Amino acid sequence: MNAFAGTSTANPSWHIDDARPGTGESQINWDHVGDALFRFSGIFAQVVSGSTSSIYSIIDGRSALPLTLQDIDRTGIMSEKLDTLLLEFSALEENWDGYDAQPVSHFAIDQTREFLRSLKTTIPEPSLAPDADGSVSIIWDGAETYLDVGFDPLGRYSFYGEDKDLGEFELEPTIGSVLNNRSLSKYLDKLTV
Amino acid sequence: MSDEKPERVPDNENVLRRIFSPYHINEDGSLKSSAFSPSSNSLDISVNREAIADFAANCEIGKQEERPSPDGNPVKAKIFRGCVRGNVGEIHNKHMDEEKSMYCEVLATPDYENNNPSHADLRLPKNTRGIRKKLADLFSNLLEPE
Repeated sequence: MNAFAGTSTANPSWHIDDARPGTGESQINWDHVGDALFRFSGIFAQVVSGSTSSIYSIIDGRSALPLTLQDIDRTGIMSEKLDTLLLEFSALEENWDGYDAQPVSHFAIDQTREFLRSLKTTIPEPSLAPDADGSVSIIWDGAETYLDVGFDPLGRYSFYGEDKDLGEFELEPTIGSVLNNRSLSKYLDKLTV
Repeated sequence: MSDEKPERVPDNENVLRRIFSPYHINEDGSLKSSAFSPSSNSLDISVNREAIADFAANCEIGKQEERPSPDGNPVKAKIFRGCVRGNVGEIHNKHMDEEKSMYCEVLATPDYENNNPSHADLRLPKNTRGIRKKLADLFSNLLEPE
């Protein structure tokens, strides 16, 4: 039985209960629903029909509403690949790491999206990873500069940087604007290509 | 239950950390530091002593812990990916801050209830991104089961 039995309230031409979950190990597979392609990751669904791609938010496992333009904004260094990863993180359930990890905080995912959208496009694409406490880590592991920026479920950010010129710097979880942090800016500048 | 602190694992031993999340493995098989993030309100990272349960036995334990997702969603499935190996002496002797005041400890915490006498805890002095990075650097790339 499909986890999502219901129809889209926004687009009644496709039905969530027609879709089947994918079977790949680490990726969400695409399924055909009529002439559209469909995939879901827990609380989000993406539908591609022709050249149009829409992301929907699943409400109560029964119906779907389209996300706003801001939700699928891909400015800064936000890419489809990073967006997809964050969608996958949002679908992880308790104990996803085998060691009692918490589900990834939607608040941390939102903060991550905002941060990635705000970065200059001259900064290379980072890797993303969920943390066991529900945080999200954004990691650049370059030859000369290592930077790990994280957002936690309490709305705090933290980072750790290593660089051959700047040395080591650690900021423990802090409330405030990540974009105004001068120490972080120095490490981000070192990543710029 | 005893309040005594568990014994330290000897420096000449190796420990293995079983990996289940694909999001913690880089394309080159190295581990992201997030693989050493403890769950909320804990500073302990579960590992196994290789001297008591060797790599093959750890693979077996990992396989036994695998769980498919009830609804078939691969994102929700728990699949054993393999182990990473670290030397206890290197972990005990690596300073985790610039002041050289913080160190990690590997403590013997056998779990007889779950038939896992090789269980040990890697206790962090603090849960910080820098400490996780230093720990990840001390462990091998992913060793996949044969």
